Amino acid sequence: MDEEYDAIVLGTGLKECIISGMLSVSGKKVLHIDRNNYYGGESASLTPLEQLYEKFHGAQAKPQPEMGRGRDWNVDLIPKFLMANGPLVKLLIHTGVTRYLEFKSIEASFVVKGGKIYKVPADEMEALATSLMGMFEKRRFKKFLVWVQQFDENKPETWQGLDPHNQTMQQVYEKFGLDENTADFTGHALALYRDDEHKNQPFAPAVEKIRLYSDSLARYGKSPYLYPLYGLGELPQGFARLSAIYGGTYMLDKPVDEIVIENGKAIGVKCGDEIVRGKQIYCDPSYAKDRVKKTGQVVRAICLLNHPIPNTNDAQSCQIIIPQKQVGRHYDIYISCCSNTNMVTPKGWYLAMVSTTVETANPEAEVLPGLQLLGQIAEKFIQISDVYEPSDLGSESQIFISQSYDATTHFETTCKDVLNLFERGTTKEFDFTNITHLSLNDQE
Amino acid sequence: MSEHHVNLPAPQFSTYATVIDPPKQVTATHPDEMVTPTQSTQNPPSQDVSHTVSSTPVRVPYPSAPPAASSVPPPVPTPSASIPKKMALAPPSNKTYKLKRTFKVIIVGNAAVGKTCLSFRFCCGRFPEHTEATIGVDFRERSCVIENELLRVQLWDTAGQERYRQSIVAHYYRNVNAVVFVYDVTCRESFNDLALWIKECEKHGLVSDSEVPRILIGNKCDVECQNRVSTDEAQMFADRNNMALFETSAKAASEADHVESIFLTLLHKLQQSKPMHVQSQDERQQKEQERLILKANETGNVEEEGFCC
Repeated sequence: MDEEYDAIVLGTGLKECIISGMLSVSGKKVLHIDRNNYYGGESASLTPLEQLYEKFHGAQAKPQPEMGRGRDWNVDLIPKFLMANGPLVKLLIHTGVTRYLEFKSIEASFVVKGGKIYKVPADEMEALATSLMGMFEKRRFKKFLVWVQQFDENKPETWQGLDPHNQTMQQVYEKFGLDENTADFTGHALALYRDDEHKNQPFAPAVEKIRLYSDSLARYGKSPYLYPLYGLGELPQGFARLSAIYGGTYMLDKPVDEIVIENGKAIGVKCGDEIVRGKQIYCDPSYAKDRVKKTGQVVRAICLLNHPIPNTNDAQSCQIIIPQKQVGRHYDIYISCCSNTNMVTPKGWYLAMVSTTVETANPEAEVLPGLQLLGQIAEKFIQISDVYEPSDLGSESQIFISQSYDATTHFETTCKDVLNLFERGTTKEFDFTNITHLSLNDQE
Repeated sequence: MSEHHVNLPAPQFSTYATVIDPPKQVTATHPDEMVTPTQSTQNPPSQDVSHTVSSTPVRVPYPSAPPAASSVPPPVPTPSASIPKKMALAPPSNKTYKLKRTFKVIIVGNAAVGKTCLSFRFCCGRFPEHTEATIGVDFRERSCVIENELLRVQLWDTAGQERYRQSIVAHYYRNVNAVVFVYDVTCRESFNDLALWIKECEKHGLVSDSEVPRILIGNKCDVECQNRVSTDEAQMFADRNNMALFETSAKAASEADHVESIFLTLLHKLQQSKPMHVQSQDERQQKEQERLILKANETGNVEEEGFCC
């Protein structure tokens, strides 16, 4: 600890672990510290189950005996899935971190309309059979999707009279004659927007998102989502090992008192009596509370069930989206569900998480429409987290702070934030050719 | 992908060593190694093995070492440094084996007890030149023929995350086929901490009555030391924990055969283990169909097939 590090990373959330891995791979000397005795911070999967009870209900609380062996549970604190064709999957593959992970497709995706759960069609058969929209609407929708597939912002001949710089998504829906229900379904269940603001924005990003959805769906068929066995907490640990392989030093269970500043610039961190010197600090908002601003809140309800979610055809894993309009809200409500098939619960048990962006003074009541879809709930843990973003971009202080995890269901924004952090800190883009430990096997 | 364009060249080459048994004779680079480099130039280079041994069943041309030779009990190492090493390759033959099973073996123990050196000795046939922190290695690999079966063994490295104990990631302990505990005979603390390592493994389901074999190695037995951990004491500890004890040195050339035989003994145990908890080729394929193992070739553009509806 008496040496000087190029970078000290505080917190082992997914973003910090990816950053740590990228810095180590780039030849930087990295010290990575977490105050907890487990990896993952906000994005951890808690195991055994006792740890979850302790975190939410205190040291005295114990799970019920029928909940099985504690270490068969891996409970995510934030619900997210990976888009099969998304940037995180690419990052995982090109850093070789896939070597430590196994994935499964999420079995199905559902959307709520008029109080009923509908399956988001995953193939042509399902699309023909679905009662989500009427016969003529289906035809118009198909035409729209064909246009989405071939649209290229750089080739005006593919625009078909629509201008990506001046026209909004709403105008696109209108041009294809799609009704409000279909627009709702497209924007929330396919493009995965949490609110309706995209309708009034230039349409190119939305088209990009719909395409990501269908490209991801095309890869494994059942749904566009992947999920790692043993829970999302595996992701930060995979990147932590990458960092360690390239020389990163790891210390868990190490309280950090403060970031030490001299002349407006960070020079290290103080842990108890000692000061560890480092040229740069990368951390999550909880390690630099005076340099972040609160931008909102997310409410998440972790629910332990001993049955699959009703009306999902006994799906062992799934996502359900409740679009905002259906429940008179500004933001969508998301439900994600995983089970023994994903190695996150003992046999017969299911983990469902209901989450949304807080918009009233009573966040618990906001997730109620989601909880009502779950049937009987054996145990429920409610968590209301503040969402922060850095007020200091770090160029002066050399403190680079990540954003809190938002309520989106996938890792798009996470990857964007990480790449942005890396570029802010190193003033370079990440060079993947620095990764040298991959075998020929993994390249195949 | 829009704003954050990730430019992705193909990943570069491997540093994880794959070695076909017996290890390639390497010219001694460490002053302690008094080896006569025999035949080294005649040996086919083995660095292509990881390529040959791909996921589809392949026949690996294999320079035969008589299986009997690998099953002999640990020879008593003679202290004389002048005897020629036995590691020289046997003459090549046309014998081919179907690579069936891969075993993941983890090495745990305090920092600086010589975990990396032991795995290097076994997989690369010599003592590593640079003994500082382990950088750039995920695991080392070697293929061995035991009872006419070609086995691949992966020795996983802690990547330095053992320095502050709880920092080893959980997946390190997953799908493990054997555990090697290592302590330094000249460092009492590393011996005392074994109990903690055993506890750590048990936390991850690697318990003594499971089918995962565990062995104990006291390393650095060539180093003179006053408060050495006595063999009796170590033996008692090993017995209590249902492990076989070996004392050896990864560094001393005279112990090279011993290190070799320790690991081969372990491999024998693994070879005889029930096929159910090791991954055979078929099982792996079956599993891959069900669980998705992401590979680089899958990043390519997906066929543009218009969305379903």
